[in-house]
Amino acid sequence: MIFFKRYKMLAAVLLVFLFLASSLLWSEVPMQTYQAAARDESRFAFCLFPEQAEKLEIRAWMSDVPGADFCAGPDRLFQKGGQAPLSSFYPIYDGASSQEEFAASYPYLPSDALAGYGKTVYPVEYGKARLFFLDGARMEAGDPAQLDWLKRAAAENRQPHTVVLVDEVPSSDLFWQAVEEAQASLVLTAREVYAYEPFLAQTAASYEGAARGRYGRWRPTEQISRPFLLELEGDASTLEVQAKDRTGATLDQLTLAVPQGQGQAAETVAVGIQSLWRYHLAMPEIKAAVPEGYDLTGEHPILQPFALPPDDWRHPLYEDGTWRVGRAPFGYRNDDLGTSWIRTDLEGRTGEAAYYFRTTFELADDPAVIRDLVLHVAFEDGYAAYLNGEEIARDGIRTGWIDAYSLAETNDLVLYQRSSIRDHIGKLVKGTNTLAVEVHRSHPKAPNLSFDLSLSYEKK
Amino acid sequence: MRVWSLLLLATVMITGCGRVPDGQVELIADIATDGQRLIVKNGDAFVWQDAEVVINGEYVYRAELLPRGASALPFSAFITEYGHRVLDSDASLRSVEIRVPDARDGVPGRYKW
Repeated sequence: MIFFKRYKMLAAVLLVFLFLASSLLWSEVPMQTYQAAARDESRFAFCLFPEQAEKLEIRAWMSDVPGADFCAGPDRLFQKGGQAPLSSFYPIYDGASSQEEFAASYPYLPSDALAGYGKTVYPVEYGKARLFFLDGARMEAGDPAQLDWLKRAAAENRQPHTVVLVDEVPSSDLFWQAVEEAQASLVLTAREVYAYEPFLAQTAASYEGAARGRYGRWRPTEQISRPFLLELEGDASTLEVQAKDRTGATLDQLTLAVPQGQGQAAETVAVGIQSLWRYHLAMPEIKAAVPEGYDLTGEHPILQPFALPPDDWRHPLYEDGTWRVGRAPFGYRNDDLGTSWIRTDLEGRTGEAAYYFRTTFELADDPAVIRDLVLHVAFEDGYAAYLNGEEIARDGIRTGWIDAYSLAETNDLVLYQRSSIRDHIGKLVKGTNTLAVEVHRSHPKAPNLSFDLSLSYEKK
Repeated sequence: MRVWSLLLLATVMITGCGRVPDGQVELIADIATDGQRLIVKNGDAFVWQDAEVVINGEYVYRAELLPRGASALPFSAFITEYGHRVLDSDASLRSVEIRVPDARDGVPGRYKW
């Protein structure tokens, strides 16, 4: 007590401090970092409004659906009523309005994903799912264009889940052959859910097996008497379809389990990240020839292969035995990545404009069986890459002719940017292939330079 | 930071100076230096062919092709007609001239600072 009487101010400060510290005990301190709580990008959730006896107030219901990023349903069910379009509603074209009216009602839909179909046929990319909205009536009339497009588009960027949405399924077996070839897990219509049976993990009460080909059918509108919607939620390996009422209570559900690797074509890595490369400072003494017919500005399309001389550093036969060997990522940085990510420190502060890199890989497959060729490049500031002496990719630097003194544009670090270079599959050869890459910085005193690259391919 | 400021100042000060003689095409160029290199930016829509870059009227850098965009030409690549090279310590710029024999339909191109 004597202490408190003598040191009143100090005691008051201590009491305030103790009070503040005690708040840690009775308040809910966040224990999870932002990054840890970040959304899992592979998860997805959306809803579907089936046609049922009672007309649904879709706009009002959509605002109550937690977790679903968007909803879908037949066009006729959506009350437009002169209100502004709701960009989180994806309609299934059902013929209730003309193509022009449909386009005017939903201006946010992609146009002409399939030529001649306007906005009535379109894909939606979402998480680990690809949704294809089709026009059932035109398929029923015998037009095969949509089925061809579906098979082709699904193969281009295959995801674990392919979902087809159509007002009514056509009667032709060709439709079921096409959706199976597109590896569709689900076909959703105005009243039915068709599930690919090999993936079925849990069935709904009124489920019928093998209703159409290898697809079983669930008719929730015949099973459930009160208003409901279907919520579809999934990740890379599972897909759940739950019928829920307005309160969010689950009335029934079916679940699909997609085998690992399904939906994603097997990717073969030709050159992995963190590979060994030969490298050298760029200098004019390292020869780079201008091939005959080469457009120095790079503004015209390359129509023919160029023949480089064997002493050009980009040529497969170039003798690079005196170059140093190091493991990617290469570079130097003035941030934490300089120690945590860079594996081979380049003597970059000498002020040279660029570095050259070369590596080789063996291709056991015939290039004719390759469907896609994919680059992942980490770079700063700019690069140009060559496969067997021909350019296949470039970013962050001017088009056309560049040399050892060329500077790139100023860029932040780009980490493993993915790009499909399938147009260059023809430059591959069975056997030994050579990759050559030049990485340029934006200024002789630029503090950062980085490079790593992987090359992989998918077979047909 | 101070170095960057000086470089920026140097760039601003030495950009866009000089007059080109009549009958020649004025090349679109920017120049700067980091103290060891001449940074030349070819702002034309075409690659300069058989270009000569002359520092202080005597040190010459010759290039069959000088690409579009910026290039960092080391002073050590500039030589006099007697074979002398520019020393880093002697890198004070008094003049820069860029010559291209054919800039447009056979007309020479020139940039002077």
